[in-house]
Amino acid sequence: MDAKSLQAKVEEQIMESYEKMYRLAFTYVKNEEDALDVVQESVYKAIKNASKIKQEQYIKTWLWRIVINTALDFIRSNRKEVPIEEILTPSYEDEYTDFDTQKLLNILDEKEKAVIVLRFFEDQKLIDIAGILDENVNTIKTILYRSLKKLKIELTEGELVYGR
Amino acid sequence: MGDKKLEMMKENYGSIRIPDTLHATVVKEIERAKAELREEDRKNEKAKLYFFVKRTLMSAATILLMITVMVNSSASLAHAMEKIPVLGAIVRVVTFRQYENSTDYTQAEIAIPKIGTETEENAALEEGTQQINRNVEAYTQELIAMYEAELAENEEAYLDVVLDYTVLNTNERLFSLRFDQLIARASGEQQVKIYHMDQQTGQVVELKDLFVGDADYVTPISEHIKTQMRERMAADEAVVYWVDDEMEEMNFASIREDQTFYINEAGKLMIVFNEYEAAPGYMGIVEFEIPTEIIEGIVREGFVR
Repeated sequence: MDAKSLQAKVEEQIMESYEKMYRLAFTYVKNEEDALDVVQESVYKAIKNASKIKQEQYIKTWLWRIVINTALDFIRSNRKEVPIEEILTPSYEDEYTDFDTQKLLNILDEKEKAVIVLRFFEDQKLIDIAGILDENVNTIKTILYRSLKKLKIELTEGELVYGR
Repeated sequence: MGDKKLEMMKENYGSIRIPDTLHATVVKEIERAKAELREEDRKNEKAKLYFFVKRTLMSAATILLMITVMVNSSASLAHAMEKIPVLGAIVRVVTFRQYENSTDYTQAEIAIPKIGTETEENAALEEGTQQINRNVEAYTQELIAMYEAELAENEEAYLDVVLDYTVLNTNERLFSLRFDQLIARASGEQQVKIYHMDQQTGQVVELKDLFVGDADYVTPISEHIKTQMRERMAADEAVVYWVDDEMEEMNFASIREDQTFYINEAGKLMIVFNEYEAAPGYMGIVEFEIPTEIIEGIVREGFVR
């Protein structure tokens, strides 16, 4: 596939899923302004690097991956500049008033968060999540069990792997 | 669905409010990235060429470094001049070997000439010829080694290496041995290398040895070449040299002090540029005749007319 048509496919995929990209970004950065920045940067990276994708079917997972990495980079680079007191008293609190999912997700680490969101909220297959996070499927399963335990949620094996 | 909590979380997640500006931000960003890509594409054509040229020039420079060394102290020079009468061509090619190899994909024909003198007793001439022979040997062995190494690495890659020589006996004083080298992989690359020897003194001659003392020959010759480049480009659209180009670092600035040269049949100085040295690759080897009045007053007697 040549660079031009790959770029068109990536563009198509972005237009299809930019709201999902935004929600995932929001889960990490926790406020509107920063989530918009993360989406904007992710879109830029995706279009600029479209020609590097090896196979068309990976576009979707690749896009998820870009959003997660961009969000994590964003958090890390911002953390450096924020004084320690501000971390102890988060200023983002008021952004998600009607929300306990975000609070709940906060007890998870970065990877656990991604696994839960992608598996249960975005209905991604375990194999694709493995691709997105660059881990093998068994590791993803382990992370999934661990995260659910932390969230105090109990599911059967079937529900874990195949969803509803 | 086994768990109500998860169900609620999902619903909640889906209700994260999407800002009104999101759509516009995404569309704008896509356009910005695409515009940048288009700009890069435009620049790429030139940059690709530029890096290729730079690489080629560097390898050409490495080869040239190996070649010419000056012989002789002034004492033995004086001695030599006293002894040798000028009798026309005394240096010639005495033997010549050929390295040949071919496979389904590759071919090498590398001529390895050896020069010598007709009069055996002359020590100064002997030294000069031996030095050129050593340089020729090193040059040709390097080509052979390169060919064999590439063949060993991948025997199914196309590779042609052809080295041919000509004796340019156009001048009573100067003996010149010219090599035309062609290395063809996916595309061909030509090079010319010329060894000169002063038949009066036995000295190996470089461009600077044609000129007196500290005379600046580089500037007048370079400037004259630029004038000729502009004239030729104005006269024929298909002709391109690297002069007055937007990419300034690519432009021909000046000849090297040891630029390849020869004296043509009319006794004029000819300056030779290898492929890519002063023009795009399709121009091949490029030569310029330097009118003698350009170098009058600084050129030494007996070389040009």
